[in-house]
Amino acid sequence: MPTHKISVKFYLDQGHNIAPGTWFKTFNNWISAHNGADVLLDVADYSHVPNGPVTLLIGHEYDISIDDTDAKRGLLYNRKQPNGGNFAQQLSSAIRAACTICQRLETEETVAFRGNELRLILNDRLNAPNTENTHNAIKDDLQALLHQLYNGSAVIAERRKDTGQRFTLDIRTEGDWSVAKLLDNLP
Amino acid sequence: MNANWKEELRDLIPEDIGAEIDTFEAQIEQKKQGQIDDRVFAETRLRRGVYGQRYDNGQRFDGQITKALDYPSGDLLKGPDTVWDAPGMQRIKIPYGGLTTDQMEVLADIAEEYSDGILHITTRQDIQIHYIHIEDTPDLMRRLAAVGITTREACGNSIRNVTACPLSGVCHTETFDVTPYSHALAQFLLGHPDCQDFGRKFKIAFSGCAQEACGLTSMHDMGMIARIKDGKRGFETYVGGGLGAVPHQAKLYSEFLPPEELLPTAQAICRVFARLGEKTNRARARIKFLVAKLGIEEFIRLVEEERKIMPEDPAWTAYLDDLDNYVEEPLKIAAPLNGVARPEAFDAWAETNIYKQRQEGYVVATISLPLGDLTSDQMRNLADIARKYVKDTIRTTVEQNIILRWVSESDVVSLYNDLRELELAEPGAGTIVDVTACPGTDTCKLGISSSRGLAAELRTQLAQQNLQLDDAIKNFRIKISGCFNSCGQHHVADLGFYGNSRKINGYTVPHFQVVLGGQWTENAGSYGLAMGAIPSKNIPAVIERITGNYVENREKDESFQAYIQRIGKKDVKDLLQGFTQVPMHEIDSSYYTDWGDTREFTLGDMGKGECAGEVVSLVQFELSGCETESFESQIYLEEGDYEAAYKTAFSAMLHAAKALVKTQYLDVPEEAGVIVEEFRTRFCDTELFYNQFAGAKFANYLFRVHEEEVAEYTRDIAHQVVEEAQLFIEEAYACYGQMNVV
Repeated sequence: MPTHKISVKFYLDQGHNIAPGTWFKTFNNWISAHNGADVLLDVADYSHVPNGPVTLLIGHEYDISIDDTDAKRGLLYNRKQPNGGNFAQQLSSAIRAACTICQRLETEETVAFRGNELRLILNDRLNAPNTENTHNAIKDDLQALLHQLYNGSAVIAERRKDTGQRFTLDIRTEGDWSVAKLLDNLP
Repeated sequence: MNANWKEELRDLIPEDIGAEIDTFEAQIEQKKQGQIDDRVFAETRLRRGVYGQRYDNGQRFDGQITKALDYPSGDLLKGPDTVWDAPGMQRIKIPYGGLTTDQMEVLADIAEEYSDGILHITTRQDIQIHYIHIEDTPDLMRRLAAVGITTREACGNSIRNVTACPLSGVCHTETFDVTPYSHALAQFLLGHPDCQDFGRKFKIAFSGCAQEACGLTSMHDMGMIARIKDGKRGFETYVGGGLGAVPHQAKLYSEFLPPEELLPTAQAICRVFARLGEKTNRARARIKFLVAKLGIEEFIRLVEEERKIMPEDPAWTAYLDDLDNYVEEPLKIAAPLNGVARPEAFDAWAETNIYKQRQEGYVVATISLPLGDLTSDQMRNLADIARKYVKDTIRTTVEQNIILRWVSESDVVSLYNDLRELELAEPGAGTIVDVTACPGTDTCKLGISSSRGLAAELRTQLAQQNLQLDDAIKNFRIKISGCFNSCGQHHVADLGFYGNSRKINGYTVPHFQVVLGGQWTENAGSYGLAMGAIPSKNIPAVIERITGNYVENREKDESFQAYIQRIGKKDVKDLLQGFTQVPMHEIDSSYYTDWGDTREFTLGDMGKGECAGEVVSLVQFELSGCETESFESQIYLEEGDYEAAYKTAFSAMLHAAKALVKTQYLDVPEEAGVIVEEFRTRFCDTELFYNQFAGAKFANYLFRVHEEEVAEYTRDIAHQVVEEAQLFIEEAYACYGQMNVV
């Protein structure tokens, strides 16, 4: 398996102007309300840093951030600890987790996410370097998952080629896809 | 099987550094198996820069109640009251702030993969990353070591990062470039045996001149200012300065210390500090208290005596031959900025962020970082920009910025445009908007009030007002600490603040103590005066009031420091009077939360700080290291490498013997034969190392193995020595325990 360190980002369609303080409050409330087996432990405000994590919810198993990388605001789910299963299962889990968090934010705040576009990052330069080999190694698992996620619609997955970067795929398809619909489609 | 960094980087990491990291990885494993005491492990990881972080005691106040954080590691600890799985901070030493582009890229990578994608420049030119899991630290260290960075002794009771003026070598007012001297001293003291038994940390700084701020030598445990005497280079040397809750100005140790005496004198000072410095009362364990207690004359006498009896070390002067090899070169030829169209806002940026070097045609460009933070992407892209304009002449600063040196003037507009694309072209470096702050309540266990929250607010407000600000206050320094420990260096700012709190109307309310009139120049020439505690939310208004009053009432050319002295504490108190009141919670609850936080304020999240390290005696610390060697020998045995198992087990015994010998003979040489004989004479013949039931049996293990000539390293031979080493170390602990009882 290439790595369990999988990050998934969905982009905002509405709600770009929500103040960092609001995100901070929301994430802090999540810590208070949380009763799952995983650990949510702190919120960090990085709104002073451009094109980075605006507000970060730090957990033990994963982090969640409102993320401005490349000046495109979205929700980034960043898996840190193994989640069980093979790569295909971990990939599916990461996308499911990201969709679930987006859906929760859509319920709690006046935001909406675009489901037709996502960024996938393998946060592990040792086991998943930004090479064609890594791409080939995950291609089958990824294609199978995307086929299910988008009901067989044509999907474009572009790898960022900058050598210093982590393995990153920008994935998009045509049409309106809500995160709720993606969740329904996930195995 | 997945790859690992140890194998991947084997050829890029110096053997001794690689071995140190392997040992630390083994110690992590030993701790998980319950084989190392919590305090010893805490100090062990601190000496590798692995620091605790807020909430690592396993609980957090969410605004209403304190909730337990149920980490999967359960009861496993990585220090007293410090949960194993709780994320921590990694401090990374950057001697004199010097960075290369390769290092910047690796720093960016590790922040992304192990942290949260943010790099933080500290007030002592280090870099910190947060939310690190301890089990990621060995690989993180290997990746840094492969590009020449160590985290060793970045925290704990050790020699911390050696800082130096970031303009060294290009400055108009310097006497000479202190960079190679600071580098040599940092390398010499790194891991030095005489620096392993301090009661507290020890900070060293170099400055090229007396009048500027850059080196801040007066507030350091040891500070050097470049001097020329009779045409020869040397250092005006100070000792015993420090901030903290009780700031001390450093005392003059020597008006002129020649370079050949720099290293041995520093070593002698360290030996005196290790021997006579306070070890029990942590609040009085810095060297400033020792100097104050002894008086500077007596301290100097003791150091000079120590200097005379120290065994000669060729390293003291070996670096002198390399001094001329230290040369910085520009990438581009010097050329003026002729006729290039200047983009909007360029002039404002250049006015504050460009410093003309003493070398004609070159400038230093300051990248102003809000709160000292930048993202991994920014760091990586900044490395690309640096490659385009300069040759690895990059430094961090104590004002939490990054500078590029040796930029050709002809490139300044182009550089500005490139930085602007990364949103790294903020103007205001070294002005009132360039607020410095320690991590405070964001991540520090000792933080009382939110230094970074306040700094962010002030930066935003002051940047908006910047054009309207009077010239008299534009270059003020604002420095904020989250508590009295002064990591934000509030004592040496024009406007300094440190966090505290007040109980009001049954609530705890975040406050900042206002400290006015500190002197940043002349190497932190004097400290400010505490004027009273103000609710956090009123600090911006207080700044407006004080600076406004100064602009209005100062006498011609009167400095802020002179103004504060003239009007006196009483008038300042009067100025602050209206800002001390806190409205009832029902009327304005905002006073009861801190800047940058939405939770109701609490002191409940504070924990025991780790900046003081753990007081672990040198013997205990060294015996713990022997246990790690013994553990490694067991691994070798399991892996079938019998020669390595045998030799590592013997080394463990030898080091345990040496640790005991050092209690009587500090300078015991490294040679095995000498250690064994000294141990025999001092511990075996005297029956200090003597088991009640087994007599000299365990000591004989060491003597036998030392004399043994092994023709073939078999499993049986190796296994025997591995077992004996474990028993020998147990007996060494028992012996040390007996010695302490006596």
